[in-house]
Parts: sequence; structure tokens; C-alpha cells
Amino acid sequence: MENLFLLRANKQQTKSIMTKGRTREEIMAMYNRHIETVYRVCFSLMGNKSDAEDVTQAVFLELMKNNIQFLDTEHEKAWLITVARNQCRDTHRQWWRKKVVALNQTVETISIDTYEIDPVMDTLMQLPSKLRIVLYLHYYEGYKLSEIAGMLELNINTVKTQIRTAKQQLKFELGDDFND
Amino acid sequence: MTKNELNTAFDRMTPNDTQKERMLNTILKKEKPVEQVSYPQKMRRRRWFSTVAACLTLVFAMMFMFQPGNGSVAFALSIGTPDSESRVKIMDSRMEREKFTTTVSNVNSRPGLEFYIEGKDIAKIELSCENEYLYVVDWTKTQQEKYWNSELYQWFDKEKQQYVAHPELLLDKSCLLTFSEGFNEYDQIWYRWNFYSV
Repeated sequence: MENLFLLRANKQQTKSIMTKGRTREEIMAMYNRHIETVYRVCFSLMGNKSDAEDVTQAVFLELMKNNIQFLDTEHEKAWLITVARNQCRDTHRQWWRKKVVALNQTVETISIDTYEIDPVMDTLMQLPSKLRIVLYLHYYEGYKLSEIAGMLELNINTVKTQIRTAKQQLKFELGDDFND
Repeated sequence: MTKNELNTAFDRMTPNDTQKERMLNTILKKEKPVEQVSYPQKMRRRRWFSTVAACLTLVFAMMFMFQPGNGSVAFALSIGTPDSESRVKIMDSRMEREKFTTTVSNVNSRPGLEFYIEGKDIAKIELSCENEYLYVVDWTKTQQEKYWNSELYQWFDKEKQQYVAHPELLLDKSCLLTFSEGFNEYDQIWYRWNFYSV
């Protein structure tokens, strides 16, 4: 996990370990290792299946373009999560997205098309994406708060506040305390 | 709610095999990934140049359309005020706002004039026309409600299922405008005179 900080802490060092290219087999191996994580991160941030697929593809294309040689699979995973988060943010910034998508339509589409009725899932999808992603990284992926702060480029106190807010909202919607 | 329930919900976000295969195929189809990824940058650059070119074209077109004549200015309309403290300035398409005067040099085939009234402590403004009708837009919303509240002269017709306007309720040959107590936004008083044959 500590390798994560190599991504931002020392760009020169990162550049020095870049290789010329990656074979198709290597790409496929990385894809198989991390596709589920990357997709879930994208889904958490984008809130629907089709956008999540588009951004996931963009993340792996970015991987093919950059050719960074990773130190281990954790370094790989952390890099992909950071890129996924950046790609999702860029996609949200596109001007036409701001005009077209209505929140109630999105939630309706998600709940009907993608899932069976599940109150936990439904409530989770109604959380703001920035809260959903910190919950995912902390509880599902098991990252520490400091690591999440590094990946999402946030202050650690912001991460703490977001997790607390997310838990409060889940409790408010589901009427049940969140037990770690 | 427990951590397990939350993780079960996140588990359901996992892509199925069909999705994984579809995404992998799409990714591997990109035979030249560097070029593919740089494509949006090229598009952005091209779009940027297009925008600049379009702006320049528009500026040149505007300059061509509004270039002054041979130096002679013919005033099409002139107005005056009874005292020197208050002034009426007419918008003229060939001038900046600071240079608006009481005359305009061009009135097109469908007459319409916009003018500002400047002054301090204005108690009331009376406007009147002999043949045409006045249309007033009141941005300050401090004067007569009919000049800013569209519900007073247009409303929804349930039978026709559309809004119907009644300009005869809005337009007058004369109008008297007074101001609320404490009004001081004199630089925002703005009127538009239009020719209407009601």
C-alpha cells in the first residue's frame, strides 16, 4: 500500500522506471487482476453501468499509454484507482453531462435496470458519489484513511468527515446504526 | 446495518463476465493506444482553432456591417427633457452606452427604441405617444406591476392548452411611472418604445 505514494511523491523516480511498451499478454493479465476493482470504483463514482464501462475502458487505455513499470500488484491497483477517479472527474466535467442527466432519472434507471430491489443498495446509490467512493475504499478494499486521502488527493480530515457523513446518511435512511 | 451488508452491496457492483469480455474487446481493439488516447487532444486543439476562427469571422462581419458611412450623420429621432438635471439617453447601435445622447442616427423599418433615463430623486416619469403605443420593461420591479408581471397580460387558456397574450392590457399611448420609497437604482431604469398598431 505504501507504494501508492510513489505515484505522486517522486515523479522523477516514476519516470525513470517507465518502460518502452507492454505486451498484449501483460495488459490482459493486469486487466484480469484489477478489472473488478476499477469497475467498482468507476461505478461508485459514475452511478450507472454504461458510464462505468466507458470510464473503465478509458482507464485501461491510459494504462497502455503510460507504460509505467509497477513495483507490485498493490502499486498497480493504487495507480489504477487514482486514474479511475481522475477519469470519472473529467467525464463529469464534460459540459453536456451537466445539462442532460436528471438525478431522479438516474436513480430510477439504476434501481430498475441494474438491481433487484435492495434497500441497502438503493440507499447506497442515493449517496453522493464522493461519499460512496470513500466507503468503498475503506470498507470493501480495506484502505487506511491516510491511503484514501493520498489516492483521492484529499485531506485526511476530509476523508474522516466524509466517512462519518456517509454513515450518518445510511443510518438516517435505513434507520439502523452502522456497525463496523 | 453491518459492514458485511455494505460489502454485499458493493459486491453487486462487480461486472459480470459479459461486461468484462465486452470491455476487454473494446480495449484490445485499440491497436495504437497512444494515438487513440491523444485523439481527444487533437480534437480539442482543432475545436479551439475553430472557435477562434469563428470569433474572428464574427468580429470582421460586425465591423463590416457597422462601419460608419461617409462621415455624415443623419439623426432619425430626437427627444428632450424639461429640465437639465434629468436626462434621457437613447440607445444607439453605433455608440457605446457612455456616449448615448438624446438623438439616434438610425431607426430601422420596424421601429423600436430603447432608452435610459438618468437623474436623481425622480418622483415620476410620464411617457406619451401620439400614434404609437408604449411598451415598458421594468427591470427594477419597483414601478407598475404590469410592466414586469407577465401574468397580468398573459395567462394559460385551458381549452386551447396554451398561453394567450393580451397586449392591449399592456400597451398604452401613455404611462405614468412612480417609484417606491427609497428607490435609488436610477441607472437601471430602462424603457423600450415599440411601434404597435393594436
